[in-house]
Amino acid sequence: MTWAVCRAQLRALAGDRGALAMSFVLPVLVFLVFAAIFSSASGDQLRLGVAVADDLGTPLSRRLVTALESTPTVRVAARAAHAADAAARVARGEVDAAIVISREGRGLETLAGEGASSLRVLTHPARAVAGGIVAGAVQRAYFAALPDAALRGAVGLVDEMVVPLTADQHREATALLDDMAASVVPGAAPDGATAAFSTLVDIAPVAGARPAASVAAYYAAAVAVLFVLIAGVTPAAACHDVMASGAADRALASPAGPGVLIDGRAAFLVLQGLLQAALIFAVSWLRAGAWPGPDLAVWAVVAVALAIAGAGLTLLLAGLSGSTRQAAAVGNIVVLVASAVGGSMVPRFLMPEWLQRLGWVTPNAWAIEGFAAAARGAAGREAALMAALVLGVAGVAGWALARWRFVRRAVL
Amino acid sequence: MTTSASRAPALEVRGAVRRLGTRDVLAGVSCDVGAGALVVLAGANGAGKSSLLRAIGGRLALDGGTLRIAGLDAAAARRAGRLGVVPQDLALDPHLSVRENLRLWGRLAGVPAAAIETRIVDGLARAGLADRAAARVETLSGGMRRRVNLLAGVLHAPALLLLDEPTVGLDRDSRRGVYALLDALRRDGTGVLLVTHDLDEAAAAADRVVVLHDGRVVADEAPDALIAAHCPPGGAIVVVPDEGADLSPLSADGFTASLDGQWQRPEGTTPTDLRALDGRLRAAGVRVREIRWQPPSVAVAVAALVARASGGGR
Repeated sequence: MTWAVCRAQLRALAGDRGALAMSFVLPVLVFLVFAAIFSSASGDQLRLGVAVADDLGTPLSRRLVTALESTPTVRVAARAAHAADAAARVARGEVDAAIVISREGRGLETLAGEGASSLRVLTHPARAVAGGIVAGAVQRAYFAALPDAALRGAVGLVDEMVVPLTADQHREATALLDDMAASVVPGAAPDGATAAFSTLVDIAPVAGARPAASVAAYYAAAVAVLFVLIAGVTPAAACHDVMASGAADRALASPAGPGVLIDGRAAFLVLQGLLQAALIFAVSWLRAGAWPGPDLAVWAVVAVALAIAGAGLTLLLAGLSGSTRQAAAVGNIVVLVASAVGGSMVPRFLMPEWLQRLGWVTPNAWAIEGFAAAARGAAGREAALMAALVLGVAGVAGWALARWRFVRRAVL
Repeated sequence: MTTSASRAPALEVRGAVRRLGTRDVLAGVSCDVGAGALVVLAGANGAGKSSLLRAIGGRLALDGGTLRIAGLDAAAARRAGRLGVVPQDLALDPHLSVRENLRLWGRLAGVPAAAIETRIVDGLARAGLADRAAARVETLSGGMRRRVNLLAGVLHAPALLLLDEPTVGLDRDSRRGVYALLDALRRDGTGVLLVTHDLDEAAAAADRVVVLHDGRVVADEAPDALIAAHCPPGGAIVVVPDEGADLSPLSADGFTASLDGQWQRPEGTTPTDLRALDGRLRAAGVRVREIRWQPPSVAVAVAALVARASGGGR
């Protein structure tokens, strides 16, 4: 009988183009937008726009600017006339950050020592995270393009702080470094000793991770959970109307009882959520070229658990509300806040630690982590199933509580 | 009705009491509906008609008294599928077809899957809707929707059927169609308890009329007996004033408030000049929407009873 009510809901949805668009077209469109945002923010396509001001104007500083122009992580969007011009561009939001090679400071050949560095990254408080990324890019470009300067600084430090060099040693080191400087081709990939400097830190994916699938899993999960919840709010809120209607009068007088109306709606929400998740991951698959879950069964368990959680939690919010209108308002507010805190709008690793911890009370965080674990294959199976268990239990509990509340209120 | 006599009554209500806030919406109601009988529940707004229907349907819990349906405790009867409900609002999904709606409600009411299609086909044929089975409900006329709404409440062949305003908003032909369906159900032994504002039309098909006032039964009689006992022999003059009109001149002229915002006065042996009455009321400041003479009828009898129960009638 639950299936009969559910089927009626599905048929009603199939005949309602507006609801279909809201449930299945809009999520895909938003997914595509989010995919672009997330893959830029957390994937491998990040290119921050920077302004560069070369106040020093030496051959070394010009080599560094040339190197920056070919660095993949940053895009030199403007050559600023001076430091103040660069700062103004950052303040106006024209660029994410600015790199200033200043006349003041230790110069480009002194790695360490007293006083400020000649290399400065200017950031806007609203985009402070860009500072660290650009600083890393500058250091990488420095070691790639100016290995002779870096070594000259190191030699100076050894001479001053470790063991004084003889005049012959000084002469040999200078000759060696001059040769090195002459061998550096601006903009070309470093080799030999130069390459050793530029690859001081290697970045590599962890064993078993599939980069394309992992990124896709993240943002597909983020959007899927957001829309499973959002699409559940209105049908769940409508339970108030259903339970006040003649349909509930009829159900109350029937062997099935009024609870079947809630069960049918819950089953409908589970199916709708499952379809939404499958659709979004399918689009993600087409876009990324890899199904974000090598073990389809584990992925399916997480997806079903997400759909149950979405149904149970939206029904619970409706059940705790006093009317359809209140349920819709409360549902939308809670879903949006949960989605923001749980990582559906901004990756959680960019959040402060307390907010990341708070995120664990949302279905979003569990679903995103569950799908991410499923994307790791066998290595993530246990974590994925744990996330599915949490989602499933929360969803069933919400469903049961909501059913009890609605049925209890149906009888005056 | 010989077959009905051997069965348990479709409904037995004994001393039903329910207090909501400071008001007794049911104050010891007792009444019966025999198997195959049609009983009309009448009374002014707030008299307790909807409360009684809700209590029977399981919406309203009783503080006291008993309800039995087809010999069973009401809750057990509901679980056994012995009760059918036809609510005033259309409990149908407009996006679904007639057949899909009937299948849904038939299954919820406990009709076995193997029997549901046969019941639907028979029901649609009986309701004159055999050719509309595949039509979406939203494409049907008001009368057809009402008939589908009725069918959805009876596919499981209940012992008792509750109907709340099943003919509201329908034209004469559509109303006849609804009563024809009810007649067919009665022949099958279903007891019918009906609330309607169209008392005279319902009474023409009814075995009895139960009149409620302030949560109590003030009359429970056959329509003819009700008319004979309570209706003024000359019928009544009925005035329908505009909302918000000053009504004191009506009281001064011998009218008492009756049902549905109407005011009524027993007609004497000398016929009232309606035109003169209209002019007199308007001159006194009463904005009159309708004024008419109504021959002796159940509606007039009920209005007189209600007026008397309110302390205003003669």
